Amino acid sequence: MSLADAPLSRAAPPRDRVQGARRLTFVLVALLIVVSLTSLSSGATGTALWPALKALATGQELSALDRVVLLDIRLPRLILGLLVGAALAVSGALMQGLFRNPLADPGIVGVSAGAGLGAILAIVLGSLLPVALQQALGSYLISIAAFVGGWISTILLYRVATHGGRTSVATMLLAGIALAALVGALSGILVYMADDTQLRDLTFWGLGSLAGATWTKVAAAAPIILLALVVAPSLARGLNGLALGEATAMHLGISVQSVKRIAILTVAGATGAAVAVSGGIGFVGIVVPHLLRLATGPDHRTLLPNAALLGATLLVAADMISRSIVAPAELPIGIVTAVLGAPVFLAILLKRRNTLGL
Amino acid sequence: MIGNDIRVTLGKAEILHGLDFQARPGQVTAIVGPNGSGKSTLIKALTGELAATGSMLLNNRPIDTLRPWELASTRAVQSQSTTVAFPFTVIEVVRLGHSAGPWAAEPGIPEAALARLGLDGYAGRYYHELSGGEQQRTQLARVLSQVWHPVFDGQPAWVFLDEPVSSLDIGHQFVVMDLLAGYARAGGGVITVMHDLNLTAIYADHVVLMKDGAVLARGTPSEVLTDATLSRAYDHPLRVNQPAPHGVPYILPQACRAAAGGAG
Repeated sequence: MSLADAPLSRAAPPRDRVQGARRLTFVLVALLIVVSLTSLSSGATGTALWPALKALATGQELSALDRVVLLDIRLPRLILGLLVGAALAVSGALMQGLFRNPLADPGIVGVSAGAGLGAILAIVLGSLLPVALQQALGSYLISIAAFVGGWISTILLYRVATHGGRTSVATMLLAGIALAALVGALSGILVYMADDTQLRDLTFWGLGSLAGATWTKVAAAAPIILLALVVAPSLARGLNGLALGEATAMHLGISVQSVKRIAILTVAGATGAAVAVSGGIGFVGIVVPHLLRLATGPDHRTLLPNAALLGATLLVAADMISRSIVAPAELPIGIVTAVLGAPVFLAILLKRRNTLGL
Repeated sequence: MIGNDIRVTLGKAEILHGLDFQARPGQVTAIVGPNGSGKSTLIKALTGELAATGSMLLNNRPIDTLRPWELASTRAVQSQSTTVAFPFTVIEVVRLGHSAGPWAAEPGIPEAALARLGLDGYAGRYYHELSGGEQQRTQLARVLSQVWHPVFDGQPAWVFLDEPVSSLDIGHQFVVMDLLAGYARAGGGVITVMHDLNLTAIYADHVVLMKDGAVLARGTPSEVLTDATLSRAYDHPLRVNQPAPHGVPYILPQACRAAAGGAG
C-alpha cells in the first residue's frame, strides 16, 4: 500500500471548513431564537409567551402578573443570559488563541480571581461603608466591586508581564498563578471573618446565577459586553497568525503587541462584566470554543462569532434547566454548566485526543 | 538587502559584534558557519524578530520605518521550526501565508505552492499529524504563498529561511533548493541559513561564513569554501575537493579524515 492510499487521519476534515462554519452560523442563529423563545415561555408561574402574544395581537391588555413576569423578570434575565453566555464563550476563544492553548480559560488574565476578591470584599466588608453609599449602591455593590477587582488584577498582571514594550504571555500565565494564590489567601481571611449569612452569600455568588437579573444590571453589562463582541472579530486574523507563534505572526504582518493588548483588555472587560452580574459561571469559556473547533476548525474568523451564538444559547438553556429542575426553587447555574460541561469536555478530550494537538 | 554594523545583545552577552551584511536580489545568499556562530541570530536581526542596533535596508528602505503589513508584502520568513497551536489543516496553514501577502486576491496560489513542494493531496490533512519533513515543506509553501511572485510593484520580493532543508530527505532537499534558486533567478531575493556545505556549494551565489558573531569570509562558494577558511571556521581540519567536470567544490567527510591525519 502506498503512502497515498494509507488512511490519512481518523477524521479527515473537509476541504473547506470555513464554508461549513458559515453554514453553522445560520443553524446557531435559529437555535438561539428557539431557545430564547422557549426561555421566555417557561418558568415557575403559568405565564406562557404565546397566549400573551395572542392577547396583545387581539388588542387585549396583559394582566399585571403577566406583564411583570414577562417584561420585568424573564426578559431581562434572558438578555442577561445571552450577554453573559456570549461574553464568556468569546473570552474563552480569545484567551485560547492568545495563549495558544485550547485549555486556557477567560480567568487566565486574572479577571476572575480579582472579581472574586472584589465580590467577597463587598459581601463581608460592605457593611463598613458609609450608610448613604450602601443605600445608594444597594445590591449592585457586589457587581461593582467584582468588576473593579477584575480590572485591577488584569491591569496588574499585564504590567508585570510587559517589559520593554513586549508582553510575555508565559509570564502573564505564571504571574496569574501567583496572583490567584494571593487572592485566594486574602479571600480565605475574609471567609474566616464572615458570619453565616455572609458565608451563604459567598457560596452562592461563587456558584453563579442569573436570578438577580434586572434591567439595571442589563444596562450596566450590555455596553461593555457588546463593545467586546464588536471588537473581538477584528482580532481574528491576528489570532490565526499567532497560532503559528509570535515570530511568525509578526512576519505575517500582524502587530502582535496590539493584538495582545486588545485581546487582554477585551477579555477583562467582557469577563469582568459577566462575572460581576452573574457570579462564577464555569466551563462555558472552554467547552463552547472546543465544540466549535471540533465541528468546523480553529479559524478565528468564524470561531469568534459562532462562539458568541453558541455561548449565548447554551447559557440560556442552562438557565432554563437551573430554574425548572427544582422549581419553584432554583439551582445555581454554575452547577448546571459544570455538570453539563465537565463530562462533555472529558468525552471530547478522550475521543479526539489525537486531533486536538495536545 | 543591506545591513551595516548589526549588533545584537541578548541578556548581557553580545551575540553579533557589529557585522555588515549584503544580499542582492536575483541571488541565493547562504549564511553558513559552526553551531552558535550567530547564523540564526543574524536572520532574526535581519527580519526584525530580534532587536538589533545598526542600520538595515530592505529594497533601500530602512526596515524600522516599514509597517508590519508593508514588510509582510515584501518578504516572508521561515523560522527553524514552527509549531501550530490548533488543529489547522495543511491548506489552512498555507492560506495564512497567502492571505498576508500582496497576492491574497489571486486564487490558486496555496494549491500551486503545495504542488511545487510535492504536497499534492495533503491539503486536507491535519498539520500536526505530518512528519517533520512534511511540516517543513508545508511551512515553505506558506512562505512562498505570501510572496508568490518574485517581483512586486517593480521591487524584488525576499524570502528569509533558517535551515529550510534540515528535516528533508536528499530528494526533497534538491526540490526545495531548485525552487529557491528558481525564485532568485526570476528576480527575487533568497537569504538562507544553511547547514549543508555541499548544497551551499551547489546552489549559493553568495556565501557569508560566520564565526563567533562576526563574518569570517564572504564571496562566491569557490572563494569562501576553501581548506584554510573552513578549517579555521569549524576548528577542524577540512579538505575541499573539486570534481573536474563542474568545478563545484565539495566537502567529503571521508577525505577530511585524511586531512586530519596529514595535519597530525
